[in-house]
Amino acid sequence: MRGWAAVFACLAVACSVPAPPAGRFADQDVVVAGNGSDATADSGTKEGTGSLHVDGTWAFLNVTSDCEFVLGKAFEVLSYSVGLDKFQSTDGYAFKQVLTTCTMKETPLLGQASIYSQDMIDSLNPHTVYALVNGHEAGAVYIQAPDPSLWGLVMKDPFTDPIPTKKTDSRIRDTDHDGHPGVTIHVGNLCDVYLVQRSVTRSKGTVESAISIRASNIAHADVFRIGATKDICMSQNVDVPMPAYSYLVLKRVDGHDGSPDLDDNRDGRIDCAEIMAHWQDIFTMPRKDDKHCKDISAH
Amino acid sequence: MKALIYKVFLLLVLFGIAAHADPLERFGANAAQVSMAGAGSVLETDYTALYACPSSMAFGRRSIGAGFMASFNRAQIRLSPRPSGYDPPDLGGLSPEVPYASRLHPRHGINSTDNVTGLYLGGTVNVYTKRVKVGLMVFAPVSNLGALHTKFNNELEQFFSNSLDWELLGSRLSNTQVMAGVAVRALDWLALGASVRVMMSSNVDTSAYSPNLNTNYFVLKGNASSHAAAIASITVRPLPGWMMAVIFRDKEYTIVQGTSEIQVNGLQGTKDYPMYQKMKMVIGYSPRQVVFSTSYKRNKWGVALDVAWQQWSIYMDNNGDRAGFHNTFSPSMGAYVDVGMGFRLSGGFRYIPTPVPDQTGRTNYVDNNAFVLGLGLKKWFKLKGDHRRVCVSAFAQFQFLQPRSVEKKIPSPYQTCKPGVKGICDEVPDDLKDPQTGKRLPAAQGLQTGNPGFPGFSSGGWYGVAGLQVGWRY
Repeated sequence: MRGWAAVFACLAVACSVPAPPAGRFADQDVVVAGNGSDATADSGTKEGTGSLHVDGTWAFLNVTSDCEFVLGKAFEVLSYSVGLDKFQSTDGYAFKQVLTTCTMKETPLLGQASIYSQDMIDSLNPHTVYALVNGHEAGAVYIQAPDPSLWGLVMKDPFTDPIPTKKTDSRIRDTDHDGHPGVTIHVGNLCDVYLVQRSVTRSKGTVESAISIRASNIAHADVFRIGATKDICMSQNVDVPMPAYSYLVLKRVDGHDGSPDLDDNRDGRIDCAEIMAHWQDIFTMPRKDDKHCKDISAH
Repeated sequence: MKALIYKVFLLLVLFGIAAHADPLERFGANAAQVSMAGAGSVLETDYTALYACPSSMAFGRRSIGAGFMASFNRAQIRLSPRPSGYDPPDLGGLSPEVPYASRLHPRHGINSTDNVTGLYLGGTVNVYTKRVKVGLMVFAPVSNLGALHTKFNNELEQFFSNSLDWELLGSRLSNTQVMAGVAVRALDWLALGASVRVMMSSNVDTSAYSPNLNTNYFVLKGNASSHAAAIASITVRPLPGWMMAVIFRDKEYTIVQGTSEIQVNGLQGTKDYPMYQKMKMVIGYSPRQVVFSTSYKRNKWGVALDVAWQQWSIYMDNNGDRAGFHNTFSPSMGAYVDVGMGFRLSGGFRYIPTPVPDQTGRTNYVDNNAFVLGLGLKKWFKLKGDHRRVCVSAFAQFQFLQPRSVEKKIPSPYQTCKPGVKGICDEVPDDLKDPQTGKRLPAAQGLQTGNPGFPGFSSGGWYGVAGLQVGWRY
């Protein structure tokens, strides 16, 4: 009997599971993904004091919130663009803003997000808008004139001309020069969509300080999808603009009035490379929150 | 009795009870065989011979019997820690798969796998003459009845259990076995026998309508059909006390397949409306086997030797893919001795070589060599003065799983995951580009895999069964 016990004990020990091997794979350097995620960055800007002197170089963050319906459920999608904004005042109250968009991004919807090529973004630059302030102290009102933006399209009157409904419409242009009509939007790695768009944005807000302006946005877009590399991308989700969560933030970045100076290479001008190197330090990005669409979903 | 057996058989077939996988092969078909660690296929002549060696039925008497068995195990799998930097990253809209941080289940090893608890039931009767017998046998799990568990054996499993499990143990063994057969004693020293195992195949077509993300409606059109796998054997008695047999068991498995037609609201007008998806799952594959069994007995003792060849090279995994196993020979030997007062003590040893090669690549089939020890005790009872009519057998078997460690090989160069790639593969292609810049995404560079078996694992432990059988020879 002892013999059997010994055999069993021996086998039980022999069959105990060894520690798993460490494996042959060395640790890899982790590269933090910087595309498409809902990045959150803290604002490192020290707010300026004193009165607003608008002339100079500013950076802008334009956030548009939409609730998109997919399979009957609404999800918030944030589209945001970051760029340079050169303010040129005429009388200290009315001024021209010459915008250069450096990047445009969108938060993913069910794992897919619209991705804009640099050629497509460049086709929008430069872009001029006009604005007014009624004072130069904190709390003064900032109003931007309705701002039409055309993608892949020319119009005599961008406010009132109808959006094309046929591929053969002569107003359609290959403005991103990729050989496809309109502009090309990459929908994640799913497909490419060729479209034209007319959007009109109205912004109204307040001067927060000598170096910061914040406004809410109301945007309306008309889209015509010319084609897509996959049929599934020709269907357009129903989307509802969410002005309550859409906004424009302007931050002065040329070193005046206590603002940060982003002219890293000291060439006397601030360019997109310098904006992109610092924009996450300047602006605080909100995270998308599908709860924003809760009331809409209920309908 | 024949009518009863026939009715029970018909009922079982009509209700589509499946027979697949092989608890009987893994442990033994009866108390004697389990206690001799799988040896002695040729010995038993009762209903269990329908599986073990159908022709041996012809040498026995009419009988009925029943039994019970249960397994217990500590068959462990331990996973190697993952090195850093291999997690599929979150690339937002460019992510080719759900980022690793969003797995539903954390990656984990297991301390045991599923057990099987089952009942034996069966009998044999003469047909016109004592030289011809027919029989019926049922092995039915008490728990886990009709278990249908499938899994992926590569990186896809990270989206499901995110773990590994034993390929040839566990739920695979917890399946109903139904078989019927006939044996003919052609000569005093020669018998032929054959039986069939009844298995179920299912064709399941579904139509789904999805008006929104929260609601899905399904219509099911399924049908089950049965098919049979053959067992055949020849038993000879060249000399008194000496028996030899060759047994052939054909492959068996259950297959579930079908097509899903899916209508998703919002896709109408596109070629994805409706979508069609094919499904095919193979469950409980048992390969062809050829067993040579011989025994020699004297008045108070006997010995037995079996050698089983199994054609594992045709083994199909749950997805119907050839798993790349190799064929094996498994020897077993056992002995018994009558110790007096109607008691018989038996024991045996078997070696089960694993058919599974080292899983150094993409797949994670887990199986180990096993050293098997069996023990049993049998007691004969006299009824109405007749000798050896009723017997009660207790049996136990322990399968010690030889410890095994596997390290995944570093593929050079690594390839993007796609059908046909054998090595650990990259789930996030390096050539993924940022459409904005046209440049490759830095976060996509390098090997990224969530394969649960990466970078290695170890396995071992033991699997045991014990039970009781009662037989009446009339």
